[in-house]
Amino acid sequence: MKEDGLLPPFSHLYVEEDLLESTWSGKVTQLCNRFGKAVVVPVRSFQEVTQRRTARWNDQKRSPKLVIARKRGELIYPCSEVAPNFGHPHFYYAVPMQNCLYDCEYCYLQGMYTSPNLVYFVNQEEMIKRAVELARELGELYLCIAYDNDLLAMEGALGVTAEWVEGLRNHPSVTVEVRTKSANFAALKKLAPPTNFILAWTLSPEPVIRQFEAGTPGLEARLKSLKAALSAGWRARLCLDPLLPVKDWPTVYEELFRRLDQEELWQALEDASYGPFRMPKQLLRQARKARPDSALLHSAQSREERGLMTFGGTDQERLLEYVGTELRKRMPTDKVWT
Amino acid sequence: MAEIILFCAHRREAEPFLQLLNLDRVIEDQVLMGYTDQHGECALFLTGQGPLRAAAAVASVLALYPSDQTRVIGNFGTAGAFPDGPPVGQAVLINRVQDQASGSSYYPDRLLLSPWPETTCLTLHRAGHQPESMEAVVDMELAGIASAATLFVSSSQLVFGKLVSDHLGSEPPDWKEMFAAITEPYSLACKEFVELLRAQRELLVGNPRHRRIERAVERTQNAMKLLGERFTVTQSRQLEIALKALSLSTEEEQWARALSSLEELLAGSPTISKPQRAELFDRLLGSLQASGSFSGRGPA
Repeated sequence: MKEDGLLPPFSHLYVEEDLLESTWSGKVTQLCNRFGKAVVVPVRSFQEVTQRRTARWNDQKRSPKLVIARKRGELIYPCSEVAPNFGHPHFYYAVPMQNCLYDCEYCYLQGMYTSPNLVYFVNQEEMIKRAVELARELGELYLCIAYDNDLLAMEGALGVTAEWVEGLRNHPSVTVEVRTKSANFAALKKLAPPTNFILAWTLSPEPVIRQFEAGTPGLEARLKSLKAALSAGWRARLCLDPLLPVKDWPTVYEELFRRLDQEELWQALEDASYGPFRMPKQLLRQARKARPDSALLHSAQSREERGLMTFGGTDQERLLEYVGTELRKRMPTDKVWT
Repeated sequence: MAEIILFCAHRREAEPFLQLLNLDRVIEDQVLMGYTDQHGECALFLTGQGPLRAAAAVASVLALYPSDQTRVIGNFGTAGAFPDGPPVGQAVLINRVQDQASGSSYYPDRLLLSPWPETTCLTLHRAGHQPESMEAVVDMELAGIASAATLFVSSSQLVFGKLVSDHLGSEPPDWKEMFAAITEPYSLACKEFVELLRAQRELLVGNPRHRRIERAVERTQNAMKLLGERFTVTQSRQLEIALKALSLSTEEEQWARALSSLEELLAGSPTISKPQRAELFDRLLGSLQASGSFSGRGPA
């Protein structure tokens, strides 16, 4: 939403000053040129801007900035058991970009970082190289690159997904999942569909999108993008996650399935996953500080089996059961993950 | 109380603000020189020279004010620039404050449009110190102000500006000549800076999320009073979160109904023993969660 007098998103680029005088300077200049009118602010380290105790999420989110940095230390991490591994024993993730353009109320990133500003890491090639090395060590690698971001939402400006696609196109031992809520498949349209990439669309019922997924494209736009990807020959996954037991949830989720049935997507999809809202206690505590206005975050007071915080009560259980059953009616059981 | 608090190093830098903001009352009970308007909505304090003194001054002032997430803290004053930098008389907004001595940096959030160019402000601890960066304007207070202010407020509450008063060179400037040359642009810049401070305040006040939080906090605090001291700290904390969740998701009527059933449960359950207290806690929490958006409702 545009507000009078408010600076537009990415009005400022915070750039690690080392990068300005290194081999990365060319790439940094290219990026700065892409955001032509942005003010460039040098920073010593990206954490100076993203890990400040004094940053207030709800204010900064109104005019988010872009931070350009180099990722140091470990570049690929083992995934948490909280996420389904889709049958892959070597389940890892990378963070080519940190934080998300969207403003979903339930997002765990609000608990991970004190600032909603996006961080783009210039050393994508190093991360890609590390993924190849790790796949060689392990035999195969299943890698999620869009857990802590929505790469496709920023594809037009940053082109991260395309860089990874081309970097890993000839490395079939690495399978990559790119999760998104965007309607921006068009940004990838010119690429030949790779066999080792899965575009995973998170879909929610329209009332859930309107209430809890601020800034994201609506259901119809996401569906259109998903269909375009399938038509272009890409592998695509459906993610119904998190499921929210909102008011009248049986009708709300029934309507979602009705709409998905109309599209006749089920055969073409790679697979589907679903899950409840869940968050580690420490992250939830931080997220509540970032979003003290969120009824959703304050409502999650029950601890589930794995020690994660979620909603209590029977509605959530019934919703999970309902969605699982409906998915299994439409897809083979071994293609439905939770 | 005090929607805007402004800090200036010297009386001379503060003068235009005293007139623009009608700061005609001297704050008597402060160690520092301070001024306020008739309603106490704006205040200005003089920090004196040097970042350590400025930090002490800002901390001592802000410690006396109750917390307010929409209060704006400003600094405006003169700064030096390199000859290749902004011209004398140019007003600039500060997007990075760097303390040359410690290397620490502070980043006030830039949220609002402004026609002023932006730059870093490098704070030196002594006159005559050589600045390490040429991409900055140079002052002697701002890092101290920013360092102290960030102990009390968020980076979105900070607005810093400078007017270039002289170009750094081998010879110190003639102060009288310098002030004479910038009097007019300085006054004009102060006027624009006041508008920016007010706009920032409006932006923070106008954030719908802040308004929702304020209402929820007030409702929750009132409801917590009903609970008294019946529960353990952990139980109270859980009930407080549940009350806040409910408060954030309900309109007046539903909230009133929830409170009423809360009162009924409390009235009908005198808590004496630990098991009774635990039972009452479970019932209350269940009742609150059942009234919220993400309820524990049983089968329909």
